[in-house]
Amino acid sequence: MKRGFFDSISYALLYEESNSILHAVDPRAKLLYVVLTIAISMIVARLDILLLLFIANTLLLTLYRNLVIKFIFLLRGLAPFIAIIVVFNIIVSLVFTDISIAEATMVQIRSIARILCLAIALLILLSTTTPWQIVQAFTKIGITYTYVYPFIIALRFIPIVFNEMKNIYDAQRARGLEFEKGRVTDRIRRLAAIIIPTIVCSIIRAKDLIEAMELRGFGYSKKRTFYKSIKFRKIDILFITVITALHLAAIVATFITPAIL
Amino acid sequence: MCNKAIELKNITYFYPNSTSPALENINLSIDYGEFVAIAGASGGGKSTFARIVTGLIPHIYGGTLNGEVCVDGINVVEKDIRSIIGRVGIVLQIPENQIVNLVVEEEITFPLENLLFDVQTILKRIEEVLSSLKIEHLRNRATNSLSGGEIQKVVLASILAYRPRILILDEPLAHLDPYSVKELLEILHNLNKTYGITIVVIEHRLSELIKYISRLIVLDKHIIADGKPRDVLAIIADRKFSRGIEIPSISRLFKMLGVESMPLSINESIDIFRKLLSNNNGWYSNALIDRVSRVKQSGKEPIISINDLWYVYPDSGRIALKGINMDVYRGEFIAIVGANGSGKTTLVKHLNGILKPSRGRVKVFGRDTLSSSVAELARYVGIVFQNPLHQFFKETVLEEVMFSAKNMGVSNAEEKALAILKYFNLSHLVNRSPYEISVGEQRRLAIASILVYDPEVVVLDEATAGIDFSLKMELLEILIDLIKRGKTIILNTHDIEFLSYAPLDRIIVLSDGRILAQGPPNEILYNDMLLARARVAPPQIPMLIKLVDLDRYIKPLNEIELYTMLSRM
Repeated sequence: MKRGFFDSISYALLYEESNSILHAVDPRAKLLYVVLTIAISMIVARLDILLLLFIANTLLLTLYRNLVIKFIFLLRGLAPFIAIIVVFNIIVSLVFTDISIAEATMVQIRSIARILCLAIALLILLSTTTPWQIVQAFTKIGITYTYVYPFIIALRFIPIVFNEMKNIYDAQRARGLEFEKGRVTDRIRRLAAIIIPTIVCSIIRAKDLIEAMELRGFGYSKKRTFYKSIKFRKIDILFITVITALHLAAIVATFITPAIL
Repeated sequence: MCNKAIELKNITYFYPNSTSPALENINLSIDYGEFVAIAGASGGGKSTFARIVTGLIPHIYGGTLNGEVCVDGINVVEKDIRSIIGRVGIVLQIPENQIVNLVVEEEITFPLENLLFDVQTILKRIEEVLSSLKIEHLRNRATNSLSGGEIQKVVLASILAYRPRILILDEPLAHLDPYSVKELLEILHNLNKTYGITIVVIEHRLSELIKYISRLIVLDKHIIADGKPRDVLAIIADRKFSRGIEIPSISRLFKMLGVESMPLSINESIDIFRKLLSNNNGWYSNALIDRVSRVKQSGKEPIISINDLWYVYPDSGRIALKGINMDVYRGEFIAIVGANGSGKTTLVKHLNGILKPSRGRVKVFGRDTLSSSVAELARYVGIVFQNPLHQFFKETVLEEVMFSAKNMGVSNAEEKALAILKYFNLSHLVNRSPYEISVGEQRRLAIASILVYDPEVVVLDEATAGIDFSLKMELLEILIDLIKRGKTIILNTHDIEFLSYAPLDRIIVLSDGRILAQGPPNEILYNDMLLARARVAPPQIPMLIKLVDLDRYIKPLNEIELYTMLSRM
């Protein structure tokens, strides 16, 4: 494990202020985008279609230049895990089923394409939308904010926790702990040196946050006002149309066109 | 019912599963419009007091609370916690932990939206607090990109938006650099004067704070003293490091000199000091003190040499260090000072290879850090980072120390570990969990777990943040002893008052990733132009000496040095 891993993840998922189009898009439209991506990954199983979708999604990223960089950082951070899972799955399917290695590999490539599409959708949602916007989006469809905030805060803490893990990693290495050496089992055991302090520090942070929220009236009432209200504008309608058309086209194409890959 | 801002009657409190009280028999009333400081040692119940006033005790924490608590006319114990919301605001020790939202504006509206204020009022309040705290420019910023001082102001804004009548701040100054400290205190002063908000600051760093407060309370499970700042100071200044409170150097000096009325600020002290001097005309010519300077540079090879070091963060592309050149010689005691975000931590992370230079070269004991592993370099340079909790993960104190020793391949690790724990006065805690021990003990344990493998150079990053004065002095004694044993020490800090007590060889001033200057302390700490450029305030004694134009003759750094100089006349 390298220090860059924590850096990559924490930077990729960090919200940044900007005037990009993606920041301006209504949170509901972005939530719809995530839902559609999840639906697609369950329905579509053809690699050619998934790859086309992946290209379309990547084009969407270019609307906010930093997102492309963030995506690369995210990939860099997740690559080892994806690789481990893929290799593990291929081995398991070769040992326990009678499919060929080519087929097993294809299955894995398809799931990577799905993961990447989903990663892009979530990345766009998390790094261009604020918790406040998401909470309001859910409130508009009748879900009480007290249920939504905890989830959003959990997501918001991911980059912060990774950043803290980086500092913990530094502190442990300063005590001579080497993460790159030794057998796999030893390396895994050494992770305790990072995970335990991370959990302790996270609990302390969560305790502070709960107190601070309580004292600022969180949960005072089931209702909540919003100081400005999110409204669908032309850009949102455009975004929704493009996204929906794209995903519907993908589903239709899956069933009527012949498979290339 | 009561008509005070805060009124505690016969308060005794036990935390759940605890047999000794955190607070005992507290009787205290604070009027509306007061500006109170509550000082006292770490673990003296200061935070417990804040939790009682805000209703977190007993409603969230549980435990046994005896006595009556009345805050803004509300009996907090009988009513539930909701009854007090909107009346009291609290800024916690680590304010960034209490931020919920990602955009400053959204964070400010958070309580207003919870409390169902209407949109018009909310919009008005946003403008109001942004302008009264002068943070309009932060309005659309992401909260995760703010500096420590900015975060504190945003948290404050979010609280002020609902116009509480009482404001509590729990150790707000601990992590701020000197300039941010002044800024925050000015803001609080204004809130108190203009809007009549009752302010309670829980803090042991009094040097700046004392000028602003109307009342000082010393708490150590009981109320030790309570009254006008000057009177209380006179009481506690009697005992040396009384209750962990950092008494301003100025006040200590005049106490030593036996002056009746204690000045609280430098401005107050100038006249008294001048008068004192005029009684003893011409004394300073024969009071010139020769500082024992232990010059080690001459003719020796540096053990660490940094050459044109640049560092660029790989993610954001921000340049953190810009052409650093510096040498460290064996046995030196060095401090690196600079405001938050000046690059101090980034710089020291290069000394054991955690970070590798983007450009330039760092050589540690003849090894280029680019081609050496951290474990190899850490043998020579031990770095203790700011937060001890970032490194504890074993079950006992002893194992924690043994862990580093084993990593470094120390033979007879257990023996060494026990010896170092004894040296740090932690022997009685060997079988305790590192999470159970006090803040000061945790700090010592963190240092012990580095020193156990005997590195040549010890680096401490913000080692004094969040610990009280007696713990700081305890730390200083350890450092001085290490210097005597021939170790090289590098201190990273913005705690300038602490530095004035340390027998430093050299101070390096860092600002915005560059070294502004380096030199002996009596040169650097007397160069206020330089320090101002680095957003660091000089210590009180040098300020006083400069103001009375004596710096041509003597350059004492702290009241003890000045006192010895004065008593030589």
